[in-house]
Amino acid sequence: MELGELWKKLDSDKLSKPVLGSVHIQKKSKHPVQKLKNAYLITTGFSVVSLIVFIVLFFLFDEWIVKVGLVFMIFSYIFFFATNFSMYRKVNIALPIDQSLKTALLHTYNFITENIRFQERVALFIYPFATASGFLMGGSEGSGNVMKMLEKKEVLIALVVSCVVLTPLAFYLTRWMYKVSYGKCLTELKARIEELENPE
Amino acid sequence: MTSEREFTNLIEENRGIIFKVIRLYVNHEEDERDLFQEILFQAWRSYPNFKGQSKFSTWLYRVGLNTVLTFKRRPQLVIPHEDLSLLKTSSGDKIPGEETEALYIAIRELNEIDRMIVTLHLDGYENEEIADISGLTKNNTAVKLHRIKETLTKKLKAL
Repeated sequence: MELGELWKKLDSDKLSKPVLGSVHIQKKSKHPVQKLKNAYLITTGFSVVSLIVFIVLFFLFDEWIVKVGLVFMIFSYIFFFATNFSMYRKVNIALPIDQSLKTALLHTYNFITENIRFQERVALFIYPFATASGFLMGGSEGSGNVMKMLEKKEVLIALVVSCVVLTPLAFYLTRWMYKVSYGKCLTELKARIEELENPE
Repeated sequence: MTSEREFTNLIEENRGIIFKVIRLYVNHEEDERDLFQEILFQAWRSYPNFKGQSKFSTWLYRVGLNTVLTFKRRPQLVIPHEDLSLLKTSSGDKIPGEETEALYIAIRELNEIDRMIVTLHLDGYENEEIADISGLTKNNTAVKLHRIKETLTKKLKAL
């Protein structure tokens, strides 16, 4: 039998048989781009809650150095909120799903990688301040006087070590989490894009 | 304003295309269900852009393929080439009606881009249309198609 005839038979015998599901349009998507968009919304909400917590803490702590740390955190989270919200808005641009496959693949790939790079940069920016502020708040609660506590050499070393250790740790944790979630998907997308760009 | 009913009717008429795309790229029941809904969702969202320059079936084929190939799926089952030989009786004769199964296995063995190109071709799409759907040039499409058809024919002859 010829290829064309075999295909028609295969199509009618097997391929066109119904799969699970009914023709009912759901209003939510599980596409990776949509999932990331949802993640931005969640992170935006999370940054608002964190912002409120830091503002409350600002009024609870009296020591000026803790307040300075908290002011940094408040500004960091305002930035965090603004950038996340702007990324969320940006994803409103619909997926070019009815254009060429190469366009759809490139859009998805670029969006996911851009998102990962963004989250990594945020981790590098936020975590040193978060670590230092956490350290100072803990110190304030524990010792009652942070300035006195910071006069001790070993405390200063502990603060620096915390920042030096926790910041890259958070950075690599973010990278690892994204690799686990999207690494395979990105590799496959890239392979398909390369196949279309360099078909020989 | 497009009515949901009008869209649903068009989908009902052409749903074989969605089933075909899913059958060619998905192995897991849960992925099948997810992708069926996802293709409907993406098609519905993009439907206002459909201006009728192509047939609805062509447009839906494109949306289906793009959705499946940009979606995060579970690992694909690898069907080893040797399995084609299982489609013969112990005396070496072909099992009746199993040629189509052999074609299915041979197509599933192709990489996903090649799979798309050959299935569009077998469904009667011209090279220019395939190039437009995939993003390849017309020449590359022709070259690729030639190679894929050779590969498929060899595999089927080996049966």
